Amino acid sequence: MKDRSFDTKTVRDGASRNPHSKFAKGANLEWGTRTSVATQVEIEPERYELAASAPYHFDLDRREFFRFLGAGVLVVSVLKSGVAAQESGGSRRGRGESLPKEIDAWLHINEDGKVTVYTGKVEVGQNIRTSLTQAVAEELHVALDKIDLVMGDTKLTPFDMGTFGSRTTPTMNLQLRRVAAAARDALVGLAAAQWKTDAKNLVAEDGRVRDRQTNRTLEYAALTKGQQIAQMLPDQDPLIPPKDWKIAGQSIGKVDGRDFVTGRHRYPSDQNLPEMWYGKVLRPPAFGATLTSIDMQKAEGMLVSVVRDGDFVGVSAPSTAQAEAAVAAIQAEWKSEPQISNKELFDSLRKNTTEGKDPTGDGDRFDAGSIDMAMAAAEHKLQQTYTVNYIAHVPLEPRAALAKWDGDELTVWTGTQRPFGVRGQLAEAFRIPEEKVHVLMPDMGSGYGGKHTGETAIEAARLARAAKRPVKVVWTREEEFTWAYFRPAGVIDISSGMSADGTITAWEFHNYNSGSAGMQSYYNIPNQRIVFHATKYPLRQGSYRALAATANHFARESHMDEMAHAVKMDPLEFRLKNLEEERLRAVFEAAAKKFGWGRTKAPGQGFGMGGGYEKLGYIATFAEVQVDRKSGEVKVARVVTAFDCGAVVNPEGLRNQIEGSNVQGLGGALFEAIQFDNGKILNGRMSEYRVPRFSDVPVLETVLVDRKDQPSVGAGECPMVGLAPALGNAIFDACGVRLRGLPMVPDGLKAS
Amino acid sequence: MASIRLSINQREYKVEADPQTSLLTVLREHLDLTGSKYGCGEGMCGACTVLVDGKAQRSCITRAASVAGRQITTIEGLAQGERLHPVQQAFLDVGAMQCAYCTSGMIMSAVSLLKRNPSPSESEIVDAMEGNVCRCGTYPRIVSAIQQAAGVMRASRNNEGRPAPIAPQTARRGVVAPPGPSTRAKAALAQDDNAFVAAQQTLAQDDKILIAEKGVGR
Repeated sequence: MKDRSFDTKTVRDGASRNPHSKFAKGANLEWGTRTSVATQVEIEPERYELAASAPYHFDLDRREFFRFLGAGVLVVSVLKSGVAAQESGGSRRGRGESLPKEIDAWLHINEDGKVTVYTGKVEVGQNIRTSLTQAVAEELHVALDKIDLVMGDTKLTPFDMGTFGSRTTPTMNLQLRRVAAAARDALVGLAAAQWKTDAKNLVAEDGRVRDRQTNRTLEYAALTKGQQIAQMLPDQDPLIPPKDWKIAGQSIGKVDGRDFVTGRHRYPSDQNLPEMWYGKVLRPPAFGATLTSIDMQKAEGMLVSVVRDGDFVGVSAPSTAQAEAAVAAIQAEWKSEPQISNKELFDSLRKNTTEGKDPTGDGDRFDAGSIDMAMAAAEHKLQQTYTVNYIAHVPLEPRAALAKWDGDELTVWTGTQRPFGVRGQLAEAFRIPEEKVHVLMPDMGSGYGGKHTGETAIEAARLARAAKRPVKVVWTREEEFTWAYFRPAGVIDISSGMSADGTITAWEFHNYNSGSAGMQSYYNIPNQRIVFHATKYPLRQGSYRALAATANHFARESHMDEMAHAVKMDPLEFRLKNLEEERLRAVFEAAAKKFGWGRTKAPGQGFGMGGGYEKLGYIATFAEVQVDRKSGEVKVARVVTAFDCGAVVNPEGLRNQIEGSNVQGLGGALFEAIQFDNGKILNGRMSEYRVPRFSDVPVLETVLVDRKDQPSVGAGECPMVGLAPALGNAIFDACGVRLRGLPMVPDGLKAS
Repeated sequence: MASIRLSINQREYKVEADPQTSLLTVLREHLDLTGSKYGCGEGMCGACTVLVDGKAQRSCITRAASVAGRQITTIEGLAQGERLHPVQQAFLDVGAMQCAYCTSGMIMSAVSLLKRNPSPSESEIVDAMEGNVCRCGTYPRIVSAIQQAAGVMRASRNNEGRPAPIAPQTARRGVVAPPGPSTRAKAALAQDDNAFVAAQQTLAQDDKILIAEKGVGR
């Protein structure tokens, strides 16, 4: 495991990071030269530019801060360089702004005692607005409702690379706890000065400082009154240990939940401005199509604004209906190249390898020992191929953006997991400095890794510039299915060797296109060759919840089962025999116990398991299925999940994430797949693409392994990876049919 | 352009709109009532669900003109002042949401269900809610929330002063494959209590009104 630990430094001696980040590389939208959608999208930019750093000059201008925030107490959080590089990425703040690039958050307590925290992370349904508020409340000893989080606003919050990769809890949660602890200490110091006593005699509790000896108290508001105290995060800031948490560690509902059950919350697609128009974009009939001729005369005669800029053609109008009518009135001819269909997909991926690298995982290749010799010496050998199809994120809120220009200054409200990335894309698309672009991200209707890019932001901004008024673009479901990006499809080949007693001696693993995240095996195998192969691929592809870890775990954990059967061992016993990692063993054992592994099966019933290590969390998933060979019905009856993500911050929030991962995971495991042919999506509607619904949900049981001795890590992705192999292994256990492709039963289990 | 009179959340509105305009568009674009959400535009996800005369209806495939004069309730009109409807409260209590984009539609569908069936079994809840999608996968929590709300509503009706006990968790039904894409959802819609099919039929009828462009601004 990588060392994720970091300590804080003052800004002056904190090292900086590389300002020449290639982060914006994927933002290759240029007006006049391209269609409106980039065909290459960078996937999770986790590994970008971690090495080089450059010195910088920083002078935190206190007056600037307090002019903006008002008087009070301010604590600025600064990441140490290594972590800064990963979390804050290439800082996109322009020169002339006097903020250090490593600032990742700041916290301000105003003269009324109101706490405001500024972070570039965004809320997409994972409920970090709540869990981060809990972290601050815990250390600062204030009520939750005294705390506001300003999130993902490129003018108000520090730079953040994006909200993905399960990074918020292990980094931002910890940083905010430190910031809050420092603010608390500052308040205690103020009280000590006022009372002329030793700070050691004082405690912070419930929004005030109390003198333990005299019991006198001072409200935070009384302490911050008239103050302009700014400080960097100190080196030493002992935090409250998880075992003593009072607010963190509790199940607390969405802090602003009331706004959601009353319809008051405004998502990106709900944004509205006076004089706003609605935008629509003319879409090509196939991917990669280029315009050969166009007649916009009829549309231009309507009460609309029509734009043609290269292959980008769009209109805006006072209503969506008028915009749609105008787009329909445009006569366009397109030219496109023949493209493959999903029937040829896996052959094509395997045959068209390229020299590309995968930026998403921890590396493209791992070798250990001598795989060829080990294979030659193995007593049992096994070779199998596993496949995963393209699937769509289907965030219930499609992409949406509202854009407005004031002269050459652009403001965009949009739903994205990377507001600063979108700011970069906008700056590049319109050839303006990033300081002129302000991106705001209202808490949005989910993303699942599907909203890293700024398509609607760019479209709305282009249309708004032409219409000389604010324009909102909200994609239809069909547009979202077609012009967003997909989770990569992939082919995985595994060859393995074992000794007679079931010890794994050789492991060769080749992943074509689906990605390298989670590709390394956590089993103890002396001889390994693990390779990611980049290939030419037919559809626009990008990040997805748990990304390639789902495919890699499906292949690995299915293969583990096949190996166990080859040596006639119990699959659990076989795994534990080849597994040393204590925390992973613990979740397998916890889930097995809860599940009742080893109990007798009824006819048609099958039990299976899958598990692993991903995004710093440990997961084991056990499934019970019922298979009817006659009808082909596969019924998932029960899923038991044991999960260890360190000290639990919000138990119910965590359970909710684990249940959600399992429910969403059911779709990709059993029936979700994008059908395509010749540059067209064939099932790009909710009525044609099946997503899990109420009746699909099995009994879900969750075991939280609350490791208060371990740092808290993320939970949005890892719990998903064990499900598909658990289901496949359970289906095999029920009826002896081994399914090696996701989705496994889109049309039920075929008759054998 | 037609003049459509709508009664929404006990308020009267006169809307100038193309008669083909969907109720969802009128709510969101004309009246800025954005609590009802767009999710699919074909009545397959339930995010746009509103009540028409107390029954759940998909506003994205309901023509506004077809519900003129009827009582429309949106999520914005469900609470009484600061007092939440028991279903809203239960969603909060149970934490039956993640991104919550589906929540208003879920709540409206649940309110409609409980009006029709004050004590639904778990499988009746599943059947009634099948047309509503929660992509975050909070379904088990939504089922629990509806059960809790049902208990609270029964209790207040019976004037017992405390919630009736919630029915114990029965074994939940699991994935059944096949059916094909979303056939269950379609079936659920077909038997839904809303005037969904009727609404689609009225969509086809009344094309006589002159279609005029909506003016600039609102």
